[in-house]
Amino acid sequence: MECRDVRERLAERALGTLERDAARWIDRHVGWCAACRREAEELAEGAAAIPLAVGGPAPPPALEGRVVRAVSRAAGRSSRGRRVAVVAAAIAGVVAATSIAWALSVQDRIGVLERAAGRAEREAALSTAEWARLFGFFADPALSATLVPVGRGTGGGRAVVYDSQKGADSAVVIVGGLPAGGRYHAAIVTPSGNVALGRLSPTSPGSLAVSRIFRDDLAGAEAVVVRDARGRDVLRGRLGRFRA
Amino acid sequence: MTDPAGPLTPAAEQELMRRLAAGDERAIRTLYARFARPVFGMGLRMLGGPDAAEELTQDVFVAAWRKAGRYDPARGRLSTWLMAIAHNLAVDRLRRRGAPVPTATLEELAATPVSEEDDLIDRDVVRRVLGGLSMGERRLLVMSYYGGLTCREIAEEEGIPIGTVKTRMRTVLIKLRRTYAKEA
Repeated sequence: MECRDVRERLAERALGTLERDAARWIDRHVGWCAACRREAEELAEGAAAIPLAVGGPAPPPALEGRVVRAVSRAAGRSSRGRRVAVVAAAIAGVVAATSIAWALSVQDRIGVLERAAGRAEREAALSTAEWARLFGFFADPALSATLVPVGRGTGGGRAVVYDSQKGADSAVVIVGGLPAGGRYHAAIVTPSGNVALGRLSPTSPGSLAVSRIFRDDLAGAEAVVVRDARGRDVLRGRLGRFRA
Repeated sequence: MTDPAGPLTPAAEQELMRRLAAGDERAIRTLYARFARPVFGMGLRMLGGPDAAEELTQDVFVAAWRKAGRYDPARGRLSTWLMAIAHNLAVDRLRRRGAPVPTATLEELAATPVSEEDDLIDRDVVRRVLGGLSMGERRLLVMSYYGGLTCREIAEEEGIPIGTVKTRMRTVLIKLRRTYAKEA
């Protein structure tokens, strides 16, 4: 598009009366042509002078509050979305990193897995450095639980629940040592009922994990349970203040 | 008329927009205080009623927040940028409704209050800014700016060549820019 053709249409562009396609061509041209851009800006100032000079009556007083709320709502939704994306990426990274470490520890172990809570705690402690790195992102405190076998079961793990005051709530569960081939689901126990975390998926041999970002509030989370396909608790842990 | 506290420097405008992009409530209120009146007035004149004008005003400030990250003071004043957003939104709505050719004069549009209790607009400034325009130029402004008509539509409506319409449009805008710059 030649400058002459563009300049012929800059006044229409400033007055907002150009067809959409033509307006896009003009905008692309002025994006790189300094001379046409200068003229476009001058004509746009002329167009803006119309409502600025003519002015108008004061809007109703209540409109200001509505506008502030509308913009704040839009900004809040966008901020939450960005935070969710950051949390999701961080969790995915930690799950991948810690599952590998976890799997190695399980594979290295010789003999039958012990049921003692202390052993489960030691297994979980392999991932604490990664947990600390993950939750260094966040200003609000997180809760964690060491998952120990229920009854005569095997295995163990760690759960972290992040109850954010401003953004998305999230939770991660990593376990190992459960009988192979089984299907396991994790849930968060709250006063108002269980909140499903989802099915644990293998991340590496012997290691299972699940993570989830929640739109709902996880305030009051008390414990985390891992259940088998028949709904029986196989691992359980009470949530307390996160310890790295 | 626009900036109750006086014009902002380009750096101040950029800082205001940075805060707006972050959703800062004070930035929203500052922007509102400066520009709600002309935006609301534009809505009244173009869309015909206070409800539509209020809806337009709200949508304009939300759009301003959405685009705040793209505002570049090197490319023009904040007032120009915001009025362009407002006008584009208003024209879109006007076209969707298929509004008829406006018949009011610019002075009639400028004089339209909503109620007797409304603040008076600065009629001297309006007279000076519009005073340098011929009747034909004012009519052109009403049809294009407030009516959203294209050059072709204006040319057909007025029975004049499209080239003449384009040239007059350019002349009008340059005059307005010069006159308003002196007043602001």
